[in-house]
Amino acid sequence: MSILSGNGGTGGTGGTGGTGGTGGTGGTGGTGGLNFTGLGAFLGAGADPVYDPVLVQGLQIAEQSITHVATPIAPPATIHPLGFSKPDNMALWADWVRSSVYLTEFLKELDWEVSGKPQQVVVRYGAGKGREFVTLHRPTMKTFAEQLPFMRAYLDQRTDRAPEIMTQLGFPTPYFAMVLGLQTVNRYTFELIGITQVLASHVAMVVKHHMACRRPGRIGAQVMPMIPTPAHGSFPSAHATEAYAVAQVLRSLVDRHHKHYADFEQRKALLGKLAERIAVNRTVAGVHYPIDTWAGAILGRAVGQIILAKCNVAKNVDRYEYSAQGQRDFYHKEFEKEANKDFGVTKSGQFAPGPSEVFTWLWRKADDEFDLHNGSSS
Amino acid sequence: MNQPARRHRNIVNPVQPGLGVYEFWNFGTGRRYALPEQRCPAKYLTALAELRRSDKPTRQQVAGKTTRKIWLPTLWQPRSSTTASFVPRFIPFVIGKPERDLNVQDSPSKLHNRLLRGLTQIGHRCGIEAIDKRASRFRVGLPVQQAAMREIEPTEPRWHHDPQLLGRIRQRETAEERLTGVARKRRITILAVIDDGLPFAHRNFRSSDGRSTRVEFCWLQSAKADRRHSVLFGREYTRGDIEDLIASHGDDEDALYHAAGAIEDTEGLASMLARHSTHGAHVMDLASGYARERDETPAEEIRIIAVQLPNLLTMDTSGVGKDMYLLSAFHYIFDRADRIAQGYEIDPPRLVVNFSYGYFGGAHDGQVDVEAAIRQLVEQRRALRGPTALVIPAGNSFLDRMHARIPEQKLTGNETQLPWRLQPADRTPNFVELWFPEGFDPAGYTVEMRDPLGKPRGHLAVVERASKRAKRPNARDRAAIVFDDNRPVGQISVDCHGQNRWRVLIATAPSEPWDDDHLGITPGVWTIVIMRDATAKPLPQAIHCWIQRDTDPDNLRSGARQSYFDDPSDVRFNDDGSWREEDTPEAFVQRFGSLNGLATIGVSITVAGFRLGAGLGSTLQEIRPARYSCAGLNNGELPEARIDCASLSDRALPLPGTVAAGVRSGSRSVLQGTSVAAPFVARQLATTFVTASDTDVQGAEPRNYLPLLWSTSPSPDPNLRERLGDLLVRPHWQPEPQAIP
Repeated sequence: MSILSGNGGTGGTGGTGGTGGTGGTGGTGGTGGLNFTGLGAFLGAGADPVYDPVLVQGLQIAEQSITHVATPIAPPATIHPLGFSKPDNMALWADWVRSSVYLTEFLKELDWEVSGKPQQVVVRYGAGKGREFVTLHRPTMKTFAEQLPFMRAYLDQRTDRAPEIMTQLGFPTPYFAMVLGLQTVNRYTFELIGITQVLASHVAMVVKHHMACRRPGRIGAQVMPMIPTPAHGSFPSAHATEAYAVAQVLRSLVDRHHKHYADFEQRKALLGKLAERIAVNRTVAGVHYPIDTWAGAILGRAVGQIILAKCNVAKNVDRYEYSAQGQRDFYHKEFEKEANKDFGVTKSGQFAPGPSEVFTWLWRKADDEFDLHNGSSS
Repeated sequence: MNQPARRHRNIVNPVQPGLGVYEFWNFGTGRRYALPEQRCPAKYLTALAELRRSDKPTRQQVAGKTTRKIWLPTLWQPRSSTTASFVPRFIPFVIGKPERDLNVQDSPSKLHNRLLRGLTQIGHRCGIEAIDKRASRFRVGLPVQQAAMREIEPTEPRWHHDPQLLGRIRQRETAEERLTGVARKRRITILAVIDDGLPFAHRNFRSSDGRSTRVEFCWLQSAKADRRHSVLFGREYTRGDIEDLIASHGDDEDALYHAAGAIEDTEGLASMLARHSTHGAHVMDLASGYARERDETPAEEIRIIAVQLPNLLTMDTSGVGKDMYLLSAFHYIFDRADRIAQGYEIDPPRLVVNFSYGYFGGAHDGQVDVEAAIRQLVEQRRALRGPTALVIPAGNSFLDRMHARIPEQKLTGNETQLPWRLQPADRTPNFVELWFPEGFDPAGYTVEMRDPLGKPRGHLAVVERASKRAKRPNARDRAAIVFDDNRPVGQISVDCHGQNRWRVLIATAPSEPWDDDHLGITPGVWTIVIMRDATAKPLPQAIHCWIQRDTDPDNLRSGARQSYFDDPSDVRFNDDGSWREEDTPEAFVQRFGSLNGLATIGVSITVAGFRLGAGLGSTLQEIRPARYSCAGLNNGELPEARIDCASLSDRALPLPGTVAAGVRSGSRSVLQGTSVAAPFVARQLATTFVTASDTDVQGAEPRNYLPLLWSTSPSPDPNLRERLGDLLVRPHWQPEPQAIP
């Protein structure tokens, strides 16, 4: 099964009621297989088929009936081995195997330090000094309480955003595909998006586990989320981490393929705006505070930068520190300013993680989907 | 168990002369049932004063002795060499509370005293030295949020005309001449929109360069006050401000409105500009939006003034809480229109105001309160400044059973029972107004409320009998309390307007109040009983009853649920199951006469809504009124209540609503209602004002400029004319070309 194929649509969610007078937004179609978190679309993709007993019997009967023409005379002269540790071999592996290779390749350098005074998590990439890329301070409960008025203000947009919220419970890949006009032939671009989401999700879960922050629905009685509250901590938002990581990677992709995207500046603006939209939808739904989005977006940008470095298309990863400001909302425009004192974001220095063969291979495959070797190559 | 309901005395209180019956409820019994935003004591309240001059000089107050607690918003003060200075009959103002009383609730009498104390200040600032305090009347509306208000009267706006505008207009003139061979001068014309959620930086309101805007002034009435303070409350953006915002944040409109302070919500309600679509964005786009994707070139010569009303206003089910905000909006628009006229040297400046809102109650004769105030302002502007058109919708409650008519025949047995259904799970109060005919003395008439089980729960004689024991024989305006068991859950009140026009107002508590310390009213069919004794005169004309709007169309979570006259004699469906759009003569409920209360002020163009009767591609002969589109009466009882013209409000039955812009540039909104038919007319009128001759405009003024609209007359079917008026105005654009008949 290709990673593009849906695992059967779950029935369309009924049209959400019209927002005061504006016609109801039509029912959303079945959510395809692009919407699973954790291993995402890699889950089970390319797995070996299960043979039924009759087929196994049939195979054996056929084997016995035809084997007589292949009677060995002498051992074969030369047997060519596959290339040892060659990244090109990735093309021979099943989707889920490649996913496993990317994942372990990425995780072998991921590390973190947790301290109790002050309560913070420092996430690092690689051994040695100066490899920390994000320092997140644990917000106090007062800070979260200060965020509740934002939850009320956003709650108002549930009627506007319900179809997005319902189709972004898992990875919102179709939304990115919409912005870039991706087609089924872009299977490795989808794989790049998919693995970026998986890696971002794992990094977010590491931090969430240590931060252990209560969800808005447990602090504000009037939040009452419109979707199930996921069973992990609130801070940082994994949706923000994933969306901002993908935006970071895809921005680089359209930049490099500006021949295929003449309006690449607009595409880049759309990718950032879409990441904001996806992250804020979770606040509207009632499962994330704006400060969760801040932490997630900062983490996601860094994960995106690490992936780009591993793909050998960028070199450096920026170092950030975030201490949440309870009275502040999240705005993409403020996030784009990088260092932002008013919002509690500081930026200091950078480091270069170095390339990885398998990631470089993936990037090249994605590249090939844009360049059809018909003379438009850059 | 069958327990008899507890008996109670009928309690009647006098209403402070000069204070309205709505205020008596809102600040009295009704306060506990108000929305959370209205329930707490407000530091600032909006109010209107209807001043009466006194022949006698009043005592001079010693300066400095009283602290200032009254502030006036921007008032239109036309200066004219030929006429005496204009003093409006109704003055909008904000009344503040001293810090020490902030946690104290005002009773109606306390409030009235505060208002009276402020009267001299108001008079002083309007140039009236002697005021007859007893004859002056007040209306008190919704509060102003503290963050939206600063205790300084407005300063001058920092506005300059656009020096390049005339050049751009000339280019348009030359382009037209080159294309058509006709040289036509384009006159700068002003279009004003009063609405909610107005996206003032939307690209559909910009000039063709995309950087400058046609919005000259924009006032957000409930935004956080800023330092510049050119408006009393809220915040103003001039063209320069908006252009600066476009320059700095034009690439991200979320960031733009955030930087402008337009998203921040001082009311604790929703931020309309954060939404995908709003009523205001839709209306403003239809009225004056020009989009490249629709092949439209911006009409540079049409300059925009936008006023965004507070959200709280749509949550107010009394309908009268918005009066001061609305009247201030008119003053503001007229003042800023004068500045535009001066800046670009246009004389006389032509102005079209689109106000796509409605009043369900009201006398429907243009004589009372805000209706009279707006009428006076428009008439004065026409006299002193120039052409002034006011375009308003007919209303959408044609089928909603909110208008009832009680003719003499219903009272032949000297009693009639009007069933009024109050809804369960209703969180907002309900109001119904009963208007006696003008000049009629209702002595001997009594109004009683009976609960769903038929038990009397309070009554009030419309005119108080002379009695030896009466302590206050002059108390003409009075209110009786309606009880549900021993809980006060309503008020029957009576007051008299203008030329002896009597009104009974019945207010009731919601069935499920926000404050759960209080039980609400029992939902179900209550009965309004009108009784009369032998001394009562017969009705020369019918009593008209209107229920005030009680819905939450913008999804502001008010919990409003519409009450209605549950009249079994009203035939609601045709034989084929479709909604019946004709009245049943014997019924109380009358669809005709449900018209917007503002539509009767005599200076407005009232716009009904139509749809294409035979689907897309229909001809004008196949036009059908939108089912909800309100209409007036043609039996002479409400002579001012009539439809002037109609435009598209639904494309067809399977394609409800019209299409226009959403809040962000490039987004799309679908909205239905007569509110979206009105701006088609406003747009066409403004476009005509650009090129029409002075003679043509002056000639059309007595008919509120209707003759200037190019349109087609509807079929001679009189019923259709009553629904759609004399003219059908084509929409300028819809995505389906076949939607334009």
